[in-house]
Amino acid sequence: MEVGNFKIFFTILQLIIIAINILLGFITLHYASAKHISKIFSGLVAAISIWMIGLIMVRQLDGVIGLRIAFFGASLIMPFFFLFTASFPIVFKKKFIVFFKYFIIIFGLVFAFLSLFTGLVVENVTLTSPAQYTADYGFFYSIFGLVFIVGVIGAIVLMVYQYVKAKGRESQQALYELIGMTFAIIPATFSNLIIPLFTGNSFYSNFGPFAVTIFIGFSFYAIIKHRLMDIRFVLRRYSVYLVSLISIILPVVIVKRLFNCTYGLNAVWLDYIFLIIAISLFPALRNYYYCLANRYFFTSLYDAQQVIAGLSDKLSSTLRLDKIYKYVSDSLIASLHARSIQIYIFNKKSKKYEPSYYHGNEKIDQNVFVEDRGFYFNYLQKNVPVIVDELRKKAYVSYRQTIDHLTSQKVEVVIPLYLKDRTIGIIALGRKESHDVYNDEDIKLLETIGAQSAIAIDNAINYEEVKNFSKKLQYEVKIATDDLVKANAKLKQLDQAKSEFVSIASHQLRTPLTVIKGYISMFLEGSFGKMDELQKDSMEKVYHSNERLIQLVENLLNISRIESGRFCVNKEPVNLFEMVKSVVEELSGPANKKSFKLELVKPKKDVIVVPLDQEKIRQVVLNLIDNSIKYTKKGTVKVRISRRKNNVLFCVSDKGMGIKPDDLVDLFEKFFRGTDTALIHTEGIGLGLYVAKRIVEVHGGKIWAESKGENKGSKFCFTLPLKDKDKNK
Amino acid sequence: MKKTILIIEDDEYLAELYRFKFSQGPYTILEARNGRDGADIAKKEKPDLILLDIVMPVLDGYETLKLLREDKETKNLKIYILSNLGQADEIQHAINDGADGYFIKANMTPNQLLNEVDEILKN
Repeated sequence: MEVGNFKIFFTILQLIIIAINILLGFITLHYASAKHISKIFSGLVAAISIWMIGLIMVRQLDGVIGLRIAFFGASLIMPFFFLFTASFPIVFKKKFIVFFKYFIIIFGLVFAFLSLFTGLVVENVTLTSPAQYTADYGFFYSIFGLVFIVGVIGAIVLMVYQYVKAKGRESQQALYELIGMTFAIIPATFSNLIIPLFTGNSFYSNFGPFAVTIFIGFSFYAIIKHRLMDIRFVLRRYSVYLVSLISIILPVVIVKRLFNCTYGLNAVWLDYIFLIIAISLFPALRNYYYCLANRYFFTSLYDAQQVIAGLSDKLSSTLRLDKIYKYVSDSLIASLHARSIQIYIFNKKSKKYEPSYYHGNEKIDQNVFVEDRGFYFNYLQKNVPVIVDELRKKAYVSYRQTIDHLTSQKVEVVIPLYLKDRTIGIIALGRKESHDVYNDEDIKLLETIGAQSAIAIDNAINYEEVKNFSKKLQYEVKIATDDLVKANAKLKQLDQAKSEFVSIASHQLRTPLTVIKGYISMFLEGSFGKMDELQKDSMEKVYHSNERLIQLVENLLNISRIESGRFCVNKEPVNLFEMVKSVVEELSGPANKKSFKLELVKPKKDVIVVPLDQEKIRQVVLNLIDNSIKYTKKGTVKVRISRRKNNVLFCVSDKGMGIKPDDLVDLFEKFFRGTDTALIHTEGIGLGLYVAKRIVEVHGGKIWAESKGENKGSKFCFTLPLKDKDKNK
Repeated sequence: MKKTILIIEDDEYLAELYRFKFSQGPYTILEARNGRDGADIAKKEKPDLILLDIVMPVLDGYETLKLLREDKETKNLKIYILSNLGQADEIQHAINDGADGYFIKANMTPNQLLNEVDEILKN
């Protein structure tokens, strides 16, 4: 290769490197999230670029000025380099380092000045060949070299120290820096400083810039890999933009050329037309390339906004816990390519994290996860994902158990499912398929997804609880209902038994009562010989008491029938007057013995035939007349029957003790007795009127009592319809 | 010729009471203490009237009534229930099974019953 060509090739290469360096510096300055370090980095890149430009100038333009510029750049490189290592990844704040930092800065600035404006560093330069030169260095050159070497050694020591001390991703960043230094700065220091200093051979200084570029590349990677993931996104966007632009401009230029060659057309208006076509085609083309790039080249990259929006849509579509887990898992795996995802839900009662979901490629025995004390409060009680590796470096002693457990489960990030005031569980992500660490951008995404998922999961859990509660409630109700059904069946059985008992008991009671009644009636009729008045009177009393007893038994049976719903009547046409007459006759005996009369008023029409249950209505009539007799000391008890339109009216009135207005209302209630009646008659139990009411009502009639007040007598009436409305009954 | 009345009644005292009362009228009284005996006597003697109690041992009144009504020989006999059961459904039951009438013991004196029997047997 000719020396001239080599020189041109070399120069072009150097220019390209300078351009790349400047671009990297520019990108870092613009997009890095850590602003401080990116400024220092950009400064370093600028200084290095000045140095490289100086070196090019030495060979291309003017030796002295070029080398002075190169030394000016190199003087600035050192402070920036030291600043960089002293604040990345960890910012050092120790006093002697700060002092050293200032010393290097001042020294660098002084040397920059001296290099550029005086001959104290570079006196003269002579080009010996296209690639080589000899320089006459000034007095300060040696001092500069020494300080520079000290600075480099200091920086290396700092970096090693950082690497040992740093945790998690910072340690990885420190490693990159260290690699960069070993392969770049140290060779460059040798080629461009030590070798020329001691041997005067400047040939190797040509390689310095390349070595330094390696360092820049490593540093750039260290910064963006961990601090600036979306720079890849930006790069992708710009590259797509560039490709789109080229694929528009190239055809346009070709077409324009063709027009020019074949038709000789080269008008300005034609250029405008091409411009308009190009501009209108550009967006469509760009989108097309963008889709293409997404599909084939950048599948591992994600757009945080899209991931969040997509998940949000899905989460809002369901309340089912299993689906929510699936959605969260799917979107995290699709965007981050985690090897595993576990979801643990915190059990308030047991204070443990219970495994609720697992998906992934790792073989993991999901265990109930009990955390160390304080871990919850210090790490999970906020919406910040915890990187296990960092936690291990920072606080392994405090949370040994938790960290060991998480490590054994191959968990790399723990995302608290944090709600406003509490953490309901965690999402535990395994490492990425790519073995990359989780970067800032990922962490931000996880924060948002964690919060989003927490709300959805909490809602679903609450919903499930409500659902379970209602299920439980249904179950309880069913049990209670079953119990009730059983109890009811048993009650029915008991009720049946009671009815049967009452039925049998009343029947059995009535047989002896009938015998008594029969014999006494025959005594009274004189079947066993004539009795004197006293004997007859006594027998009548026995007879009447026996009658009451019979009524009482009858009423008890009726009540039992009414209660059990088996009370029914058997209607047939009956001459009511005849029936009442027989009752009156039956009761006339005892009534006549008192100082009052029982009088049956004859109706205008003798025959009043009413459909009724003879036995039942007879009971009512007997009851009402007997009542009147019981509560009357003297005077007449009058019984009347009359027609009232479609009804027959029965009334019995007396001049007895009367009824208090308050009592009138409750008179026909079960077991009701007038407030003072117990004083006069002790044998009543308050069933007669209640049964009478039921009997009359079953017949479709009405029963009531009237009284003007105490001691003003009373009147009991009932009506019965003359025509049976419901013959089937 | 004296008419025959068969009283099917398990209660000794009551049977005696009715026998005593009916003897005062122009009647021959036959007695049975349960439905089975009653049915046998009815078949043999063909009484003019049967007064049938319901609650009885061996064969109760309902069953006896059914038996008598199913038998050709006793099918047309006059059978009246004389019982202390007096609820509507009980009465209906007896009437449906072919009883010619129904008397409730407790509601009648023997004299009243005798009058009713006189009335029934007049024709």
